[in-house]
Amino acid sequence: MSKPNLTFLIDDDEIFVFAMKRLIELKKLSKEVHHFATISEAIQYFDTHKKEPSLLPDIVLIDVNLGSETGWEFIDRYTQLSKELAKETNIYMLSASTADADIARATQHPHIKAYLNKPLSKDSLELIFGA
Amino acid sequence: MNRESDHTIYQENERFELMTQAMHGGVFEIRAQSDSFLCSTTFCELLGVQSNAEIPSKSFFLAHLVFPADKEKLEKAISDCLEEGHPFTLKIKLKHVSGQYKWFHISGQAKTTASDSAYIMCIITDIDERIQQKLALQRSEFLLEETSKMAKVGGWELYTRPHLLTWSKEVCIIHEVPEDFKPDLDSAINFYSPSYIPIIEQAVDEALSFGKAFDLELKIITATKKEIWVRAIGKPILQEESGNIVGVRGVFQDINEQKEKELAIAESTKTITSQNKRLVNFAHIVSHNLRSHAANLTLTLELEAEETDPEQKAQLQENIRKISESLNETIKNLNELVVAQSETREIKKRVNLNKIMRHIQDILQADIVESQATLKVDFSKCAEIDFVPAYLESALFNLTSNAIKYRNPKVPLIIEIESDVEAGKPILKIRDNGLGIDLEKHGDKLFGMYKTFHGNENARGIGLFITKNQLESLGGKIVVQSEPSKGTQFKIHF
Repeated sequence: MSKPNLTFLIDDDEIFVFAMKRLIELKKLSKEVHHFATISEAIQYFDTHKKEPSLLPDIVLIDVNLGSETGWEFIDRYTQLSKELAKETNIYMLSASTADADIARATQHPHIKAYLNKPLSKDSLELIFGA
Repeated sequence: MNRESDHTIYQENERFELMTQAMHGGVFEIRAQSDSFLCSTTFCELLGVQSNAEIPSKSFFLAHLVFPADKEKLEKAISDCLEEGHPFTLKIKLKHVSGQYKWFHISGQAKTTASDSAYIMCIITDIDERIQQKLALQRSEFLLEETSKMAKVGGWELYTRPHLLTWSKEVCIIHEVPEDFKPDLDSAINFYSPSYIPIIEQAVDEALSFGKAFDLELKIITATKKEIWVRAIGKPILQEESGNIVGVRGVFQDINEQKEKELAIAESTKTITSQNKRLVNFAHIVSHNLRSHAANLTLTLELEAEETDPEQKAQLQENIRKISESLNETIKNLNELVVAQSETREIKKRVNLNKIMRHIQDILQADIVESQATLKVDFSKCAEIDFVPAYLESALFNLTSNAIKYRNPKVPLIIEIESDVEAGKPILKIRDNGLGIDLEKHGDKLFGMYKTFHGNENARGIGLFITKNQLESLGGKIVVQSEPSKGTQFKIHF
């Protein structure tokens, strides 16, 4: 697996985002990292660039809990949009909690690669970035 | 006269016998100055004895055949009759040969020509069956009446041609009308609470038209204006020959007590379920938050150890400080909630609303000035409420500060706070013209923990959660009405 070019972090937790960005940078896990604090911003980006494969991410890391929104709202809207997208993205759902219902749902969802616990372990990082 | 010849007279007089047989009666004769006892064959038959010989004397008859409790009564009647010449009639019990006492009607008439030869002719008739039936009826009537009273249940019958509605005593008692109340269909239906009138009308109509039975739980308003739950059961009355429906007959029961309990239980189950749901949600959120902080701490500490860039290192250290702060905040919130959950044994006191409101306005003074909010406070309809003072203050504080936080920047903020009395219980209303909230989208989350809606940075997402828990722990209730960009109204029932 070649090194991913573009990774998106969709999370409203600034401390996690800061550390994650730095980690990716230091370990050279992805050439570029973008951050979105809300689902609408992220979806808007996908919608705007749906026909430009070079601008679409290889990887999305999305948190399950985003203030009053949940990661599932992103998944639903992404799914609606997915047929029009010029590139396939690997989506990973992240959470600090281990809610069985979320895990079960994520495992069955065709657009979700895996449900991973925060903090991300070495194995998780390997799984995501192939590093 | 000797006894033998007397016997002969009674037993051989065919016409006499025929007559006593025809009237199902027996005849006997008692004399004033003698212990003799003469009786007819029919008399013997009634008591199941073979012949007069088995009842040798008047004293034997009184001592062995008359029911002990009736003996005195009969003796007195006999002596009065002999002395005064008054005829008598009595209902007494006589012993049958089987050993059982049976009821007889006995009448006697004295002949008092010469005092030494005065005698009484008595006729007895068997009334045992009738009396037994009467007693059985009395017993079952007693049972029925007592059971009706106990179960608060009565009967009613409605005939259509001609129109006739009858209520049993208990039905009158349930309606709180005199027992001689004469209902008709209209007046009976008008006792129902307005919203139930169409239901009972339709039920009676369908019973009369299609023979459909009904069993309904409805509300009536009694003559003294009490609203109570009743159960009304009705079944069609069919004419025996034709099978046509000629009316409806049914049972009517006061089920207010059961129904109120049932509704109270349903209501408290609802509260408990929602409280439970919120507690699970709470546990979930707290665990999630603690895990988030722990995860961030691990990640940031690892990075910080490896970081060589001084600027980045400083930022990571700053982040560690932030995580520590957030952890403290989470634990503080957790503590507040645990206190709110466990202190339901707090003592209720009489709370003066104006006093509390002044205190809240003092605390929020800076926010009120900054937001240029107008507070319209009116506690004239109910100035005092019995409640845990700290809970009441916290509820009013949360709702007022929410109104300020979520104001609509385009409209001057007006917050109206007023008390009132509804169904005999105090309520508080807090109304604003702020941003409002889409309840269809967020309604179920509004009172959840850490749910914030307007991207407001002051929002902690814990106030309404605590308020609802505190109110419900004391049996209160909080409801919300809201429309985006119109405003929000919270109503607290105590």
